[in-house]
Amino acid sequence: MRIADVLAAAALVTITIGAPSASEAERAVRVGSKKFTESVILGEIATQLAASTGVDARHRAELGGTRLLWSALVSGEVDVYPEYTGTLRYEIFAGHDLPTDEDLADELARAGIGMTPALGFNNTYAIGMQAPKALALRVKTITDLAEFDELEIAFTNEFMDREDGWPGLRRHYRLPHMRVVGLDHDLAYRGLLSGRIDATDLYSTDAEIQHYDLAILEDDKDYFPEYRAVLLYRLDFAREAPEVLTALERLAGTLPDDTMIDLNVRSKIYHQPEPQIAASFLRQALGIIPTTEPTAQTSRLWSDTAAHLQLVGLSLFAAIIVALPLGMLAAKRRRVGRVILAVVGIVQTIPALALLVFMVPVLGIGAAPALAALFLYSLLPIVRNTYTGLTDISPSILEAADAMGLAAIDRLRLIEMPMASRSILAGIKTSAVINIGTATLGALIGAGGYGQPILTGIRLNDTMLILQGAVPAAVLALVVQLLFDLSDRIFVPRGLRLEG
Amino acid sequence: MLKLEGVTKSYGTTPALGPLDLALAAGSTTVVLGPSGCGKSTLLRIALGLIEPTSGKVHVGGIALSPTQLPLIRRRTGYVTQDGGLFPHLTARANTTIMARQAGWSDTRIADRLHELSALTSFPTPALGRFPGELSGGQRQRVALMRALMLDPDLLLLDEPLGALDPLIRYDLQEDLSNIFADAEKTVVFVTHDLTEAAHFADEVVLLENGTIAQRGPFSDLLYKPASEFVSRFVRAQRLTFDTGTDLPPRGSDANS
Repeated sequence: MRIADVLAAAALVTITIGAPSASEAERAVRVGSKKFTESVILGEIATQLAASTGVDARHRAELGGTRLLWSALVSGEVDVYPEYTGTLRYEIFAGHDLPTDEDLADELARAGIGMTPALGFNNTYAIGMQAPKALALRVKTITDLAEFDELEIAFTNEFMDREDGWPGLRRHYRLPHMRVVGLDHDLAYRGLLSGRIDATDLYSTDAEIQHYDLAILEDDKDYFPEYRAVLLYRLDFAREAPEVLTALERLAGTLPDDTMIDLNVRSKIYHQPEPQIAASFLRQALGIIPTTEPTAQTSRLWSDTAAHLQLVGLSLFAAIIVALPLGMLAAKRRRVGRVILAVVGIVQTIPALALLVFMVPVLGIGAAPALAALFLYSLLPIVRNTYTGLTDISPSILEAADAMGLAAIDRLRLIEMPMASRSILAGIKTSAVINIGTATLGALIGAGGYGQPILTGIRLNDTMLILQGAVPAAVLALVVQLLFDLSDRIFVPRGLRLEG
Repeated sequence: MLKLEGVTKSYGTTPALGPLDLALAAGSTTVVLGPSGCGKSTLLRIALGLIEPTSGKVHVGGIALSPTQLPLIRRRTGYVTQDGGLFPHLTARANTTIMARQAGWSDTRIADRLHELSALTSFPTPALGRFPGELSGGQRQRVALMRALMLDPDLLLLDEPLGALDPLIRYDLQEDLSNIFADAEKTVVFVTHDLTEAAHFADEVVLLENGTIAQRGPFSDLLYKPASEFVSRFVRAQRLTFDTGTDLPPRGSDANS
């Protein structure tokens, strides 16, 4: 009866989350953005501009990376998102030869996607040095860099690996530097400031260029490709709402490099909220007074907690329902069991981000794919501990049960499961605690939770904001651990606790 | 009551038991004696269908042992092993009454039977609420015995039930067991390697050697009419303990040992 109650409650929760988003999503224009500031600002601008035409527009901000956004756009989870021509050419359509923008537009159209004219700026890779040091060494171009092979150079890991990053740059300019290390972007900036690093890769519209007084080395041999910002949109959306597209196309050419750097500075350095930045830009550039007011961030902790608990609770609940029978089956049928354990083990090795990207075409973005991923990750500890708990029972106990004439099902119910309960509970606890941590990644596909402040905090380099997600997540993990320790007393028979 | 016809059991090419022909009359108490590894326990486990014989037939209470008859036969048979086989997560009471509950007995019937059994096995009633981990070795075996007797079985199979106990507790429990075996309707098979115990219980002794019967008959025959050199050696080896065994102190309490 208790299980039935929980099931009913779970169903109710599922319905209440599912219902509104399904009906509202029909009409609203959904704008996506990647998890870095510039993309969020552009997404916010597009959202407010769309809203100014009278439609309901929603911004699904900070949704992971290129693969995820592209996948969400193609599968119709978002209608619009900001992208860069270079990313389209070298990442999304890698291997295709698309020299002109017309070629690119044709290729996009084949996927049912359209592209606005360039918004203005070119956010390409650039090599930056601290301005005084560049001046002192008289390094102005990337070619000049070749003469100083003792310089400490650090690149972001992505730049190190990408064919159009360091490997290509090095060949193109015949750079002699051998001691090049991979670093996180924000760490690279700090390294530049402290003088430990002499040069790093940047994006040419990074807020830090202005803020930290960095010098961009001229790409004198035209190595770096163009990364012009455009808005990608679904063609069917453009047919249904041509007036929105017309509005969005007004952005063409309104964002030159220095304007974009300025907007980035306002967010990253002065921590102005993106909706406010977007609104003031639209007012100045297009004379539009946005209809949507920036939403107040009250009771954010509460809503994050609710979203996080929902992710962890529902996925764990579903995992228990599925993993317990799987673990029992694995223990009873050893051959099938080996397959089951292998499969849930393999699932565990899939990186969370990859799993989330796979899920988008099937489950869209939001809570559903995050729940599915968390569910899959929860299986292994529960299945394995159920299996171990059952197979660890001494054969003489099982023989005693058989010798009494206890039917197999009753033996499982009355003897084996209670005796395995401690191990099973430990498995569920492991899953729960791991889930609380993993669920923070859910923010990357718009599932909310404690990952949201963490993600925004990392993006804005705002430690306080990161802590607003990290601390409650840690507290929640501790509380859950404590609750499970208490539940040991309820679910594990006292006789089993006697010998520790 | 228990009939084995041409029963053999081998693991791969290694024979463990048989060929064995044995018929035990209803109400008899038979001690199966023999050194470790002679197939004593195998015999009991075959009778319960816990092990399938390689060849031969087993009848219990006139019913041929088969998968469909197993539940019935097992419910009419009580089984106690050396370690008791108690379920650690259940109290002494729950261990004892598990099959009665399965059989749908009423609470009063269960309580009455439990009362009877705790008197019969000298198990202190207040300890019924304890878990096996909270009981002494002797008490655990008494619970195992109560559990085996709960449904009032026709056949009682005991596999060295006193083997793991201290001599004193063993002596006490031996007394209680004698009383239980005296019940004329129960067929008892008592497996042990201990001559003293055999002397104590046996109507009839079956001495096994490498899975086959070395001698069968009254206990005194083992001493005075050994059938083979093996039998004399087996007896001689334990003679010392057997002689002094009659001199044990009077029964005491094993409640807190």
